[in-house]
Amino acid sequence: MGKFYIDDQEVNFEPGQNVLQAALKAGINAPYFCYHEALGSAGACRMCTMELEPTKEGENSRLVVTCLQAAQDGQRYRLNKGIGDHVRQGVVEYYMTRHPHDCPVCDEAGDCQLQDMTILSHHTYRRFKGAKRTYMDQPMGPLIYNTANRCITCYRCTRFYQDYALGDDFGVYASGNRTTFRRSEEGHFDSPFSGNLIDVCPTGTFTDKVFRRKFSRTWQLEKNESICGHCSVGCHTEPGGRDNSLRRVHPFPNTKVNAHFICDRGRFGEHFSEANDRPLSAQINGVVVDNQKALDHIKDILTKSAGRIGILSSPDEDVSCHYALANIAEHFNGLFSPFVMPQTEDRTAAALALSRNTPSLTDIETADGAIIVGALTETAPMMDLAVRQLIKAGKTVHMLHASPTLLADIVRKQHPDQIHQAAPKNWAQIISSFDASHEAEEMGPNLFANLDTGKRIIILGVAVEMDIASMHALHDLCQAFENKQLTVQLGFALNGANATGSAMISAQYPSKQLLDAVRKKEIDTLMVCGADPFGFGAADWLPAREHIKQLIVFDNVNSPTLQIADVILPHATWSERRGISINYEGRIQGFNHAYQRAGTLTAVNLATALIGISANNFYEQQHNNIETLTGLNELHYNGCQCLNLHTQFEGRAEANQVSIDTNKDSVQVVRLTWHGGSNKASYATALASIKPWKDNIIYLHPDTAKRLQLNAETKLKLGNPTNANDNPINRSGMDQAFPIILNDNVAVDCLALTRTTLHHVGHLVNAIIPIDKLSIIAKEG
Amino acid sequence: MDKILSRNFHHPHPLNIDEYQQAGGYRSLDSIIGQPRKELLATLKNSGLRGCGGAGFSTGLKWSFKAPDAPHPVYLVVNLDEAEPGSFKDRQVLYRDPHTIIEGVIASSYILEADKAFIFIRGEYRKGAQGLEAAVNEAKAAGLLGYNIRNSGWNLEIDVHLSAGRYICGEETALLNAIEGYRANPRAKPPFPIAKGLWGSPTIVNNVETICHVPFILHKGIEWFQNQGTNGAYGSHIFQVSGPVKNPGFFELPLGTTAREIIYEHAGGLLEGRELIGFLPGGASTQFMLPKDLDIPMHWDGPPTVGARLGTGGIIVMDDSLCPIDFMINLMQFFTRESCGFCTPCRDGLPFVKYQLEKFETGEADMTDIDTLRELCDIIYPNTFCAFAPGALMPIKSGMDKFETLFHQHIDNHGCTHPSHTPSTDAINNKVDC
Amino acid sequence: MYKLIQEIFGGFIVTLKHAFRPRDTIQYPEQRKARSERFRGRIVLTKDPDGQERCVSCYLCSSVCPVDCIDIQGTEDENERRYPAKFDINFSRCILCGLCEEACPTLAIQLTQDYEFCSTNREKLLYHKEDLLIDGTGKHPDYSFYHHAGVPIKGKAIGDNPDEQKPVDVYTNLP
Repeated sequence: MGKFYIDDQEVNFEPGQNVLQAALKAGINAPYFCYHEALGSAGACRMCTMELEPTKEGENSRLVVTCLQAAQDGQRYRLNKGIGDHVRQGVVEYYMTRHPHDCPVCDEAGDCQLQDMTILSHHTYRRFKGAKRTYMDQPMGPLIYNTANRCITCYRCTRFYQDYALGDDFGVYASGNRTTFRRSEEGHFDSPFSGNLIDVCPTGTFTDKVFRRKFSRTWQLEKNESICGHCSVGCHTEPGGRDNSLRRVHPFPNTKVNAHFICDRGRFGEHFSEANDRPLSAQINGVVVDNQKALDHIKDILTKSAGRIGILSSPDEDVSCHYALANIAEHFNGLFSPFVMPQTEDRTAAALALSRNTPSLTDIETADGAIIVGALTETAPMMDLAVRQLIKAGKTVHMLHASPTLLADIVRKQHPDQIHQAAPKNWAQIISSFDASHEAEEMGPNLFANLDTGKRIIILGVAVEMDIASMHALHDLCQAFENKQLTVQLGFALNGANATGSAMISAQYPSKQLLDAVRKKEIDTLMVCGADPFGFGAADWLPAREHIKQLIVFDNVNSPTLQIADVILPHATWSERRGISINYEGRIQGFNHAYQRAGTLTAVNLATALIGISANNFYEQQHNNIETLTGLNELHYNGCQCLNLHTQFEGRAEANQVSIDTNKDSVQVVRLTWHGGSNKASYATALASIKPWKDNIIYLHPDTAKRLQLNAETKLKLGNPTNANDNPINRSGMDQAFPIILNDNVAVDCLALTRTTLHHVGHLVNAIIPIDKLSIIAKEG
Repeated sequence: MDKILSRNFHHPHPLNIDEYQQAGGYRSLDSIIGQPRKELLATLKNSGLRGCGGAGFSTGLKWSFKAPDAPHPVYLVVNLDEAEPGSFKDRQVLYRDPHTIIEGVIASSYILEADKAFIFIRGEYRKGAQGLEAAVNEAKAAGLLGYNIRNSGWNLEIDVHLSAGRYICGEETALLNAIEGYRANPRAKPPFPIAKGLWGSPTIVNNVETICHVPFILHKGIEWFQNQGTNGAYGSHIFQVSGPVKNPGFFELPLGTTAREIIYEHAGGLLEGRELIGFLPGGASTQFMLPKDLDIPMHWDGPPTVGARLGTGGIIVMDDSLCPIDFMINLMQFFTRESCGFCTPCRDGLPFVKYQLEKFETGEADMTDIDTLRELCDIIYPNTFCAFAPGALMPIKSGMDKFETLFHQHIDNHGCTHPSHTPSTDAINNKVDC
Repeated sequence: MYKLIQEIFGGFIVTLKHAFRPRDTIQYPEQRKARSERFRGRIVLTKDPDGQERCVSCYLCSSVCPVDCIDIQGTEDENERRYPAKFDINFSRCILCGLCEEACPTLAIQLTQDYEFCSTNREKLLYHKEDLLIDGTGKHPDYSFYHHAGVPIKGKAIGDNPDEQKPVDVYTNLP
């Protein structure tokens, strides 16, 4: 704590800060290029040079780079007076000796740090008239565009990609003034965080290729702070739209959740709202009508079917949407549920009930050790980025997973002994063996043996892959660690951005009730919002389709459910509406629209049209509801308040404990997903084009293949899936045989399938198939 | 003066360990290993030995910066990355008497309590490195390296490390990065290598010639060492002379010998019909000295009296057969290529300086270009990440001062009128290179 | 009395004098006054000497326009050369100030000497790109922006400009 002076202006600083950091925090326009708050100082650009006045008689003032200078009390710097200005102008002039004359055709113009610093340093005229050095551009995939000539060699890209995000397919080449930054070979990046290169690069070297197709200058965009709707972390983003379309998504720097970066799924996945086949107008039986006519029609249907109505939402939709639909359901004596599958609801509620002192992303980054269960990168990529900071600091990270996950690849490089691959049915047992008090185990001996007391461990589980027994095992593990005087924080990555909010509401509107009513044929009118019950992973719902006479779908993607709908209403996306989302920590975050899409509706619009409640009344009612439900007085939606998960979800971890299958003669189906695949993001064409997994293929470990006697000449038929009542479900894919691909990163005794393939065959995630039900068929030809 | 580094050079081939010991080698270790380190360090400090790598920092003082309770492992790094143009002294002792190096390393490591010593050799000296490695193996077999050397309780391992190329590896922190396997970019100082060097451990980096002097000073005493020099300097030094002289080469002479003696006596003077215009006293990154400075003694305090520095003692002679501005462009060509590319003023500013110089040669320059060139030198100099660019600009800055009239002539004559000037020396419109 | 007559007739004489002076009136529309080269008249979009559109949809003109009468949506063709998919100027708003011409970095948008484009229908004053694009180079016959920019276009690869070096070979080990 102390203060120093820049141009006689007082600047306060905290111990450990450097001069530039303190100056920027105080709001001074100090110039810089290569410094970044998350990436640290490099000292490469020399732009932050300031003159340090002498303290003793007879000494000269000297030039220091403020990003490498630790702030000390009483120092006096000259920024705009003295020779610093001259020196900084020189630095910009050197950049201009090789920077191309690209501003009019450069995507970054208007948002460009080089432009800003040039103006700030008052450099005007380039005296260098020699030849500029050039580079060939490298194709870097469908998401990022490279123009290497514009590089100012600040090293930020490689400091982010290699040092912060631990990627290794991108780096620095050559030396001297031919230094360039590129991938080792052409093609898209391997890292799930490659989109951040666009923000981190101060010039237009790395630009957003998806934005480029619908380009607009940044000052013309309608922007607002919003919450990402693609995973349960709930990062703060800044979508920018113009003229009825989304143009780009940037991270919104904040101190609550994600600081400076977002993952590719949040950045490029949001462009699902630009898909060519997005429903943008209402339809009745395939005929396009205007919204009012469709709403009248729906009101008609609901009135006539009162008492036999079901409304289904999903964890991908926000709290306001749920409340609005719940109100509509109650008005017409119908049932509502925010979850499609009771299984998902139970798992989500159990995970929230069993969470202990859920770690935020910052907590994860600063912990002393971690245990990760499940494919974390593919479910909540930003949590993975936080865990990578742990790995970088040399802390112990153990992973237990069944399907391939990028985080395991990183840990495996240095510590292959810290990776445990096993089928999910065995996880509860393995987790129990992690208990430090057990000795002489074949799996996981004393995991954090060399940690002193008082250190903090975080445990993260992927709820959708775990059964409730293994979640309990994790909870018990916390207790065991605490007995060893370690602090433990347990959190779960959930499926769906608003899974917590949905689980909170589902206490009053359980999905089992709705599903049972449908099965008992008590419901013949179904409204579906943002969910896909007749598409992915909902084998339980398809048999019910024939009992539904009217299917109304209110969505913003062309899902399989939408394709068989009777009435379609266009739904606004999160960037286009306001709402409230609750993330995996219970953090209550409100968001407002960044731009508006003409012709789309929100659930609140629906409530107004169908049951007559005004928007203001609705929001007031909702506010009271949430306050009552959460027990929070003075509720704010700025992301500073968290639910008390323990009290909120008390008692919901006991339901439906599935017995562990110790049958050794079975295989387990696991979900194969990737960092860009969420329910909505899979409709974003550019992002979906780099999906690493193929559909209609079964991936398995070579040992499993050997055991089942499968090879490249054979195909595997999975047999009929059965539902919870053991009734066979007729799916189109049940007779299909799939070729196999061997993959070392799939756990033994597991069959890994993509969601599309799962939907095709009708099996549920984590379904257990006895081996005798599998059939092996020789490939033809 | 007793020869130190070149004392065994008269042998037809490098001495193996037996021959070396017969010729009196490794005897200094008797008075070093087992002696209290504090006393040895004090002796070294008082002797006045200064680093021979170019900076000339007092070796004893540098070594005394290591904390007495510094955590182990402690590393000694010997800098044999002799890439400075005009400097070829270290090559001699590497190829012709590797055991001298090893003796120096053992003595220095003992004083510093180093656990491992790296000898970092320029990539082009591959055969010399192989010879050194063989010598290291011989020393190991003879019990001079390894565990508990001569029952002193101290261990030493020597690792001969061959560089992958590049001049910047001679910069001490870039050298450390190169040994660790990273890009040879320099590191920010503080923290200094003596506190946090190789892999975060205390590391001392010294030039090989300095290291080779250490056992002799400790064995033969301060008085002997101080008598080795002349004109007020202590010790001897290998001076090298290159350029249009009759007898270019290296000469081990007392520190303080005048440049006149070195160039005209030992190197035989300039070739017939050539006239001395100026010379760089210590390799390419030093300032010009003029013929009137020939009588300045070549020791650490001599050249600074005329704004130059001793550097490595590699004298590059410049005669009237070429234009000094062309000479400077040639130097800049080297430096622009060898920049590591980390910081902007060096990576992009040095090519700009070269471009400005070329304007004089092609005749496109005017009076403002002199000011521009001076301004460039002034604002690049204090604003770089390491000392590479300041070194690169030293000949340019001094050239602008000492050959000022020449620059004006180039402007008035619209280009270079030197008989050696050909259009092919114009690189302004050359699309190749920086 | 004499003064009275003097004043009245003096006035008449002035009128008579002016009656025989040469007229300043120009008989428009049969005669038209020549405009200066920098006269700010109707806006056109020009092409460069190679016959390609100059406009690269940088959005500078629409941003500097003080009355927001320019609307642009940019896109790129199959060779990644940027051009405006939509370029509308609402001439009922345009004040012909010329700021767009000043701002344009590629010398695409220019103001001509034509001022005779009024209409009785406001809708007809909304000019689209096909109404604005001309085949010539306008006032600047020699300038092609892409011959100074670093981005490649069809017919000009990276490194082909007179002020550029050939692209760096990143695979060489030489310094």
